[in-house]
Amino acid sequence: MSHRIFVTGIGIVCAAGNSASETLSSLAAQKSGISGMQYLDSRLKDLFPVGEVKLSNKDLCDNLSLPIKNYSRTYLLALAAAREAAGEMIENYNSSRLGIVSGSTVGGMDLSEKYFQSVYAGIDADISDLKQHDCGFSTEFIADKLGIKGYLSTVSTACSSSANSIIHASMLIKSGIIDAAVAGGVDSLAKFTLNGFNSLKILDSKLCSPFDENRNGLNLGEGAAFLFIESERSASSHMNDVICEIKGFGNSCDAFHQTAMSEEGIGPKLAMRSALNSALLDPSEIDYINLHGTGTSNNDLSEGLAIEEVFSGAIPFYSSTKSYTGHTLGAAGAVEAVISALSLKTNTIYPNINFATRMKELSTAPVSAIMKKDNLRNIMSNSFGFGGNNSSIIFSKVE
Amino acid sequence: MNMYISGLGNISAGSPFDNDFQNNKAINDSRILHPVEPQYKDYIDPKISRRLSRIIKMGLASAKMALNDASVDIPDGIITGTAIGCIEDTEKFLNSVIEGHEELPSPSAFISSTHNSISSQIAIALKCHGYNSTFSSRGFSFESALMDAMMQIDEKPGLKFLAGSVDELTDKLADILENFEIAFNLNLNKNKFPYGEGAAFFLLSGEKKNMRYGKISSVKMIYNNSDENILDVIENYYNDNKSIKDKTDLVLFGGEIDEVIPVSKIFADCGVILFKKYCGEYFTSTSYALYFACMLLKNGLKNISFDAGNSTTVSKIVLINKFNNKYYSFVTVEND
Repeated sequence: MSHRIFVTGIGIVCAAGNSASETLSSLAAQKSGISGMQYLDSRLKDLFPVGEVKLSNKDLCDNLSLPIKNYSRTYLLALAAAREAAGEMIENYNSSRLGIVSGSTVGGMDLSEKYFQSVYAGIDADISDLKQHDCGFSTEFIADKLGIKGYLSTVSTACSSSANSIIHASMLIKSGIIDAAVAGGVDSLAKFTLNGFNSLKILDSKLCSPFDENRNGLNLGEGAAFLFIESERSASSHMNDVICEIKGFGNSCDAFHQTAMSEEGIGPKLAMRSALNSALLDPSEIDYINLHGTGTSNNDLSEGLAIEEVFSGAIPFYSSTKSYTGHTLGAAGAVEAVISALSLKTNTIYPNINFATRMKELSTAPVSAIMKKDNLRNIMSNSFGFGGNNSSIIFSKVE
Repeated sequence: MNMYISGLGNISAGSPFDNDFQNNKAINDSRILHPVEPQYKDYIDPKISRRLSRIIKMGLASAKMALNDASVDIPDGIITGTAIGCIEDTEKFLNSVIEGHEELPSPSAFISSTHNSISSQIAIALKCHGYNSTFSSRGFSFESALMDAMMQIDEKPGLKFLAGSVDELTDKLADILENFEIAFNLNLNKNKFPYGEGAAFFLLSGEKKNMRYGKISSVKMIYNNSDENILDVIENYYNDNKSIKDKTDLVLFGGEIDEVIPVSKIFADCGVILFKKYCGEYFTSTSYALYFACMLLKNGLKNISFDAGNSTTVSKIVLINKFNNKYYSFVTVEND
């Protein structure tokens, strides 16, 4: 890469914590945030555990000093994480050289559901609920709140949305179009997605166990996460502490099926290889992979086989932190980017929880006990989505 | 950074080159401008086509048209802009969840409801494993796709990218948009274009030998929530970027009728055409304007009428669009 991209801020709201430090505490304590449904009003409430953020919309408004209005939960989660990532420092930037790139799968679906539920029940429905339906609304709202004027865009590539938003933002900085960006993504829990994944019969009725021989599906989660990223020059001129750098990334398409992944993981292999190429790293230099690892039979097999091939002979440590957060869909790439940054910062690999039995098709198993590792240099984070949208990003310690 | 256009595909309500369309009052007075859809069997295997929703068919067919036009089998990457995405299937699945009280709705509408299913189905049809992305960013959805392609091509000029957009309009969505206008008092006294929908894809690369229509020499998006007058936004942008404005022959403008004369003045009285007369108002209408510009660069200005100013030759066209008085985009297409 011609220009280095530094991560100088992180922000996260997910089932495992309402901030980066809370999330880190849950990871360190190996405590999952997945539990019974508290806030979403769904008939599936008692059937499936979920990774809900442990705050009501009112709590979120209070924390954000917003009036209690009909905000989509998507916006509230995103604003909380974006504010934490950008912090106070954003005021020191030229707003026209600052961008936001966010990713989302269903945008403000929580309010759309409320609207159509009211129409169906024949009670007064407020049409303004639908103004927050599209994926782009929360990005615009956050840009307004944070005063970002240089660039604004929203990616929607299903479960790899926010990985691709981090990639797009990195390209914008490399190209010199902007100096710094708030990059990440958000999705809030909705009946739409919960029933969608249930109709595909890939929800686990117990806590998910990614990469386990007896895995039985995913737990749906929600959350938002953002990175504050900037050019090397911008980071040094603002005298920001650098958490890690984005060393490389790859994006490819499995081009196999709209929802299923090719068994041999064509897309995942291409994404991981192209990330390694762009980072100018040899596979042996990757110390840890933060898996996509949803816990579905299909994903974990394809991803596992793809890793065995790309890293043949020297398979790095790997684990899926979706066992703490649930699968946060469009936010997953950014949630795991923040966790990767925390891993680099603390020199620690956070293990899969609920892991018991190695998959029979694989020669290795995920890390299942917390692991301190002083020489943790390069972490690959995988994000694979419906539609075969596969992306891998490599986060590295700054030498 | 230049992106050369070697192929295009377009599905839209009508063509400015078609006099019947220009003069058909019934079409012009309708609430929605629906596109003239092609025979999908010419582009998509009928066995596959049966399972695809209308928006995916529009996207896939226009993508195939662009590839055929450019004589390219498989591009190096596919980028789609869609602001609202697959709204018909979204409505369908949401309805079945609500009306069926969450009793195991059928997954098929859910599967094809995600915004990226358009880019994905194009990739599956072409067996294209390259870069693949989808932007759903209100009035910048198509422009983001262009910007993404431009950055990738700038890094590796030999790459060929398929970039485009598609948005569909359902009756329910048109009702909702109309209710918005009433509820939020939007545009009520303005000369309003019908709601539109459509698809357009372009085959882009960084090599001049591939230029068959023209080149995209600049893409700029300005998000401005300050209620600043559009004419000031345009003037400020081009004052800061005089070389981009210089020698402009024609402006394809996505603003309002009462803004065309002042816009023409900013560009030394050159011709201005309100392109939304032909395609309607939708989030990704800039892709229609780009198709329109390519046709003008290739075929000239014969039979073209202007909404303000006048142009006699055409080799540099500026596309200016605005959406919701916040999203402004500026694209330059030229053929020198």
